[in-house]
Amino acid sequence: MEPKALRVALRIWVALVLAFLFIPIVLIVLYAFNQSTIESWPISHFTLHWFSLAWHDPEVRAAFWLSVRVGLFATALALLLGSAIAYAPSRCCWCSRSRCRASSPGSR
Amino acid sequence: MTPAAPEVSQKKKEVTPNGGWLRVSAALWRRPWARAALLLTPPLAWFAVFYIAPLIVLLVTAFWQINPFTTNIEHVWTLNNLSTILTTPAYLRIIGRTVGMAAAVTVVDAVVAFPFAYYMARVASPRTRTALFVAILLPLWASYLAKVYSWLVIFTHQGILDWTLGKLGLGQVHLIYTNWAVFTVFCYLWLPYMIIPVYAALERIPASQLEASQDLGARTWRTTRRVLLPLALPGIAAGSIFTFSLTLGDYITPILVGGTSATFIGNIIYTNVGIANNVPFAAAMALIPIAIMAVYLLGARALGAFEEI
Repeated sequence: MEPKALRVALRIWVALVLAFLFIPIVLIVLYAFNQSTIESWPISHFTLHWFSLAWHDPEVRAAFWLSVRVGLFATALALLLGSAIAYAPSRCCWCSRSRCRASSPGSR
Repeated sequence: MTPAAPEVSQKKKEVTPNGGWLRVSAALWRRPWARAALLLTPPLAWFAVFYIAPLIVLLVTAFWQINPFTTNIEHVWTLNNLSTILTTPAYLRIIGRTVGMAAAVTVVDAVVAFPFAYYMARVASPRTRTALFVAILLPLWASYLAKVYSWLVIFTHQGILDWTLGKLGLGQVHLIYTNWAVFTVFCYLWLPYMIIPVYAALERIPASQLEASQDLGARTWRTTRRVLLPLALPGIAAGSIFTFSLTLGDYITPILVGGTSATFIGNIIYTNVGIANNVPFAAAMALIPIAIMAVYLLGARALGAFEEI
């Protein structure tokens, strides 16, 4: 078991890393509501203006639907090809049973 | 006899496709190699056409050149592109800068990831562990550009970093459009790719080995250095493949948050494909990170990185 001080230090480290990972994501959400186009902090006025602008912009809509279509198509294709290549070795066609067991992720 | 005929033909119709399918599946059941071929041909064909073939085209293009007047590609074999890269000090500096950046990002991410992964694997309760796992996966699902832009907002003049430092009375640093900004964003973007393999390596170390080390009198630091680190090394090597190669190939982050000196291998390739329209030179430049990664992967394999994946 780890000494108490080490556990506290580890906990602080984890908190700092989580802050590092999530502060930028929270910030980008906040800036979506920023009224000013200047990126200075703190944000003085909040607005929903950009959302309505994006919602009514035909180019943004077209880009959004294109992204969705490409995403769905890529997912479907990757699902088909990926499942086929993952299924083949798991259904033991050429490797012996012992080798398959050794290489399967469930076993150690 | 006449009224019975359609019934018979209908029955036949019903049986034939079913029997056909049965025969096909039986034939496949009897021949495992046929089953394997049927399953593997589409993905392998895809792999060959969309991964291997473009790489071969790239390799070949690197040894062609363009006509300087028409900028058309001339199919004449030449080593000019590679020799230009390897003899021009500016290009060598860019290669050095890129490799140095990739190495620095890898080292810092490993140092940041190790205690985090250790906490996940050995200290946290199973519930906390799951929560932390989700927490490091979540940023991977956020858009790359959104994450880089949020750092632009943090580093910008009068941005949140300057504001925070000002409140603490530390003055201002103005990191935007410097290589420090590029470095920080790379560390941020690739950190989860380091944490996951290091966690996987730490998680499978039997507790008994650490207890044995402590029973033999080794304190925490000694146990970490002599038992934990060597056993976690394959995981760190596996994670470093991601952080190193992803930094080596990126050109968008330097464009967005880097300054005038933030030219990396990827930026050279990008400008030669787009603005300069010299695809053979871009292809030759693209061979450099491929060669570096080949050496790197051999080193990582020696450290046991591929046993972790």
